[in-house]
Amino acid sequence: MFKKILIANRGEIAVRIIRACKELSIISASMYSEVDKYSLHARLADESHFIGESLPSESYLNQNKIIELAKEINADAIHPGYGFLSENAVFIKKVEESGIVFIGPSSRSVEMMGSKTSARDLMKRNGVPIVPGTTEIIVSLDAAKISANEIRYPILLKASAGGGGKGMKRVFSEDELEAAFSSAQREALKAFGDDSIYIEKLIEHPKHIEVQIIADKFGNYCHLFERECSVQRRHQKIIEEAPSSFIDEETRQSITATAINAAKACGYYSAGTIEFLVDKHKNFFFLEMNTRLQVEHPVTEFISGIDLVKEQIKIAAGEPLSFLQSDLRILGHAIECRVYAEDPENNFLPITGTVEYHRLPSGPNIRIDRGIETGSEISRFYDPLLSKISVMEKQRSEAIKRMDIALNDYLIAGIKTNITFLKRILQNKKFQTGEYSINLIEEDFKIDNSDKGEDFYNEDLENVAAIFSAYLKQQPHNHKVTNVVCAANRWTDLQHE
Amino acid sequence: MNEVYVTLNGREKVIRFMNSEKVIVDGREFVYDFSKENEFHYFLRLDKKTFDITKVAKDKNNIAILTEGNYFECKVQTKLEKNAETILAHSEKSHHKEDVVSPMPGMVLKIQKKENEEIVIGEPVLILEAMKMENEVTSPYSGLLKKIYVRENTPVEKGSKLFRIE
Repeated sequence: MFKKILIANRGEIAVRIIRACKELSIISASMYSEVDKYSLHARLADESHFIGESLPSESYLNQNKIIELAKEINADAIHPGYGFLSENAVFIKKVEESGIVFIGPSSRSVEMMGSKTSARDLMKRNGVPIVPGTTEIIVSLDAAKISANEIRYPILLKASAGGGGKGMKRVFSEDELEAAFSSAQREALKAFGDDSIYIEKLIEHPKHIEVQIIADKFGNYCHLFERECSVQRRHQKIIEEAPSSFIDEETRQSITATAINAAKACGYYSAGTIEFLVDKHKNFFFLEMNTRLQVEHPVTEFISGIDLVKEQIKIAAGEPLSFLQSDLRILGHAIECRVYAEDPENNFLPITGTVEYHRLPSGPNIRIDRGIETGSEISRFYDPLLSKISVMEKQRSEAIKRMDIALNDYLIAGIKTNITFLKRILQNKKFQTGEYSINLIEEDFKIDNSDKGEDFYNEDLENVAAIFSAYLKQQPHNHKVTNVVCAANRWTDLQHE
Repeated sequence: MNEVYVTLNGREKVIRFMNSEKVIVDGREFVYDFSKENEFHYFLRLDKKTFDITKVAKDKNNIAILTEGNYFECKVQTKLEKNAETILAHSEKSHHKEDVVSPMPGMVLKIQKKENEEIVIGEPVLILEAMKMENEVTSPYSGLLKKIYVRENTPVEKGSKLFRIE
């Protein structure tokens, strides 16, 4: 087993990996950028090392510096977390060549799945159903017009190197194509350094369902059931659950078997996820493979009882899987909510500032993954994910209830979050019955601030809010409070009549 | 004297503190008690239930709070301030003349409209890039795009003026 692991990430996922290292009695080494010096992930690790300035390109994306650091501190492995360099085949290859073990798949597997167009081609050849569309990159607007007309509108422009909704645009008719095409190219170039775009048929009202797979270096493959991640805003997931309430046993058999085939097609080892779009007839189409740990891995850990991060580390160290497919069964229903610093009433724009106060929920089967606490700065350099709350119960409806209560207990000051918005989704009829698609938020939630919350009217809490704010207003010489919050620049986020 | 007007979710509530124990909200009486845990965390006891409240943000007339998972933005005014506002509103012409400010720090990627163009509410005016995502900044009003304060490919801070609608 490894003696020391360098964690090439920050925030909640770095904290998650540090915990796994500690449980395996491996020395955890974290790296921090300028602004992260005293952040949770830097303090929790057994040792922490400065990696560079706050800009990601200077720090968490600085490939050579990270490898040099790993050598310098005698780390025998690097865990990349998710995001940053986790799916960068060039980086992984450099790590492999340096003699340090990369905790994740081989650079070859990542390369095969990294370009969406070549992944689609690979899947097609291996009998994995793909969304109709191009398997080649579209280089010009004219070519895009021709392909779009062949595929028929509505279509989806997607970045070949993409993920997280960056470089992705929906187009319903030809007159929208030009603006969408150049915007998608720009976004893709900025986000991934590659402006390759391809076209897919837009599957209307689909569900996003993905299968967690795990494999060792001896060719043993297992799936850890599916997750449903259809609740998305700006093409990014905010609520995930496992299992999916939409998938019956027959579909589960077939979608998980297909996922294992997809993983085998690229000679995969470590934890990985095959994402599918599922239409209303339960037909599923390969979307992409995420060749890394997912943000939403806690729900799978809940329902399978498997610690994915520890398993990843053991696989990287050359150990076989510690379980067989037949050992696994679904233990309950788990839900995860992602708490973001963002403004749901203002198109989910990220919010920056200081977390002035933070109190987390607790209780049976409530799990928190977080990288922040009271005093943390939410800067514009990194993703505004604050924490993840995951819960498990026997039934889905009970899990929803548990999550709702957990969100009630979550207190955070200094930063506006999406907590109330998450609660509203949990109370949504379509969400509760499971009859919703990835369009739930845009269909059922107004984001232009015209929704005064009539559907969620709660007189008691409005009275509490009114009495509280009136009381603070009446406090004589309350200037100190105002100065401490220093809210002046934050109030630009809040809209008033 | 001690009436406070609170507007939240488009509704106005009148709060009257009778003494250190009783408060009346729109005619309904509550027994209250108030305790400050720290600058940002308070307890408010109303009749027999205690609420945990965090003060998310605050300035002179606005308070944003989070309690039991519910976020509220409250505009708070004394009787005096409310009267002053009413007088002011009458003296000013009612049409909108307003600067639209940047909701967040970012980079102005593309300006899609020209000065002196007629803009309809909700129409995109420019694209702001932040957190590697392109965000359309739309006009909150209909009117004439009187002035664009920013140029393409320049960074803007949160709260800095983007354009003016008249």
